[in-house]
Amino acid sequence: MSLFEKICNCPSVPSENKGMTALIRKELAPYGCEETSDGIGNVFFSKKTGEGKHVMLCAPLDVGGVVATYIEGSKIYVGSLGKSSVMQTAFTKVVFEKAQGVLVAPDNYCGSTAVTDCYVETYDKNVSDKVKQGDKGYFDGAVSFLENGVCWGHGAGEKCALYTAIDGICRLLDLQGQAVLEKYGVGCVTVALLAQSSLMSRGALTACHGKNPDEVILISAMNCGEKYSPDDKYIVKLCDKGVCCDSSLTQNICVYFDETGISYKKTVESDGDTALASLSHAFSCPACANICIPVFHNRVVIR
Amino acid sequence: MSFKYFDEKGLELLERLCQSFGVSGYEDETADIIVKEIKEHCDIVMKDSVGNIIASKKGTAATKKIMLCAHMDEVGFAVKHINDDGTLDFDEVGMVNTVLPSKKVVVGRDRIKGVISARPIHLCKDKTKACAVSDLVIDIGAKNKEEAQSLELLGEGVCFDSDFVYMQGGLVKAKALDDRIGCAILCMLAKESFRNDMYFAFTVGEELGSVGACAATHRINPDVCIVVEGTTASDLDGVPEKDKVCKVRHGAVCPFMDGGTLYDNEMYTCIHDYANANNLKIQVKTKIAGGTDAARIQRSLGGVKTAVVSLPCRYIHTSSSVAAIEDMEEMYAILKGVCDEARF
Repeated sequence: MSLFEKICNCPSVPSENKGMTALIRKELAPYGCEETSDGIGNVFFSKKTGEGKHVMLCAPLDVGGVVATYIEGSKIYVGSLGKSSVMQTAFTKVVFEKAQGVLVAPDNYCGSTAVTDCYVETYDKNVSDKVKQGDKGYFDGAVSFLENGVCWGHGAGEKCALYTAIDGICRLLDLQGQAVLEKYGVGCVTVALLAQSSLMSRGALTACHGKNPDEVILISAMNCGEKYSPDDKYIVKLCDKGVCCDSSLTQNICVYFDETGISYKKTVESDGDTALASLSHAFSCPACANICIPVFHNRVVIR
Repeated sequence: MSFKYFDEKGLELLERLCQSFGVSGYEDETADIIVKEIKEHCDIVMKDSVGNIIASKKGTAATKKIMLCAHMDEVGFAVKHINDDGTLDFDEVGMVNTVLPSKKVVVGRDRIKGVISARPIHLCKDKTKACAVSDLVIDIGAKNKEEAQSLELLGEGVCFDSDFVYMQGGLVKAKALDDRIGCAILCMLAKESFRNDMYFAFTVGEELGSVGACAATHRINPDVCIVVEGTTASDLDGVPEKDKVCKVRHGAVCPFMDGGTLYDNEMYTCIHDYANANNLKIQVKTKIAGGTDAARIQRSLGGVKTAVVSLPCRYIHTSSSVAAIEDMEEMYAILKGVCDEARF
């Protein structure tokens, strides 16, 4: 829980990921991973464990936020930095490095209202001295912890996916995990923190091109409405937007979940995530699989 | 008014480039001008399989491999059918402003003169709406289908026919300033000397979704890339300040983001810092819209750090875009300095 809480409390919007990267660097420090990054901002932590295939776990490094486009008086006009529904973010606090305010939506705002129709009211006439065009802001109080292991808030699903990937690589690299790596013939493990994830998964393809993994397991959030039971801890996707997951890798994951009693459900539904398509279109044609964290209207059941 | 970089020679080059026929997919004429202009000044000039022109020039004390990119193509049309009366049905190539009736055009490699025609306004039911492209035809003056067919125009590109005009206050009006200004600046920079290894990519098909950008990036494999572009200026009376995007006569535009790319923070800061330190005018965009070759470049290979420096142009994607020569000067000075220093 401690790491999950830290991840939830750490702002990370596209291209402003230093805090999150530092947090994960510290978490992975005991495992002696090699850290690299690429031109789009993906961050990788890799560890060679022996001879065998290279498996890359991918997770989103950021959640959607806003970017200042124009400042007038105490108002900061903003553009959307990734997927941010005004229905869910209107009248919430937006935090910039040196100022904060409330995202004010038009009186008649609805599902089709864009972030660009809104502005951040800071009540500070001198805000232009503190915020400049291009500065990024995040939605504050992103994740709250409710009763019965439920957490709620903007980006809860993505942060849960990131936590799962970090927790996953830690487990693989500890002594008990070594047996799993040997059993599945894994010689190198990488966790790829995908930059600009909330901007149509822009970092996914370059992550694969840079690291050339044999197998990729994408851990992402999936909006499910109420279709899935909270008892289904994970959703294993079989395909997404016409991209088929690798059947043998997916099968291996399911077998492992069965063996260890982890509850999951298979699906062919797409949640609009294009990372899988990008990853599987890399030159090296890695085998790809997708494990999703079910998200119900910004709610995630932690267990 | 006299200018340091865009002197008589520089403006003559820009005019030649703007006047060339270069609708997406038909960039040969523009490419020929570029090759002739730079071949004596670069170590290598080549054309790749998709039609990009790629040139390189070794630096004097290289630490970085810098790619500059400008697209050769322009928006326009393509002939899709010849009607019985000898007029031509056409489709848009790229996102063209839809106010088209009476615009002069040239069709195909033989540059057949024509005009986009519509039903007379008196006969239109709804006089408040622009005509749909599907309701328009190109009139080349042919008497009938046979005469038009004999000119072999089916599938040919169509380009606006628009003069290059010097306006008041150091403004110019031309078609295709997006992105012949980029091509002109790259040609001029190719004649300069740099410390870093320079690669100049003149790409095809940007207006059709950046057809050439990815291939050029893969061939060059740069450390960083700066896309040199023309961009939307809506600095017109009645437009709220926050919606003006950027303004003519306010210098080069270096945005932090557009519809396709979140630009590299370090490069963005470095370019702005260089401009500010050298008293060069630079601005950002107040709207996140549009896209450039940068989107494809940034996501090529293992990810390429990318920035864009643009010229603010009014009435972009029409037959008459308008821009300020003083902004071109600022652009040139910024790019020259940044590429030489390359602190990113």
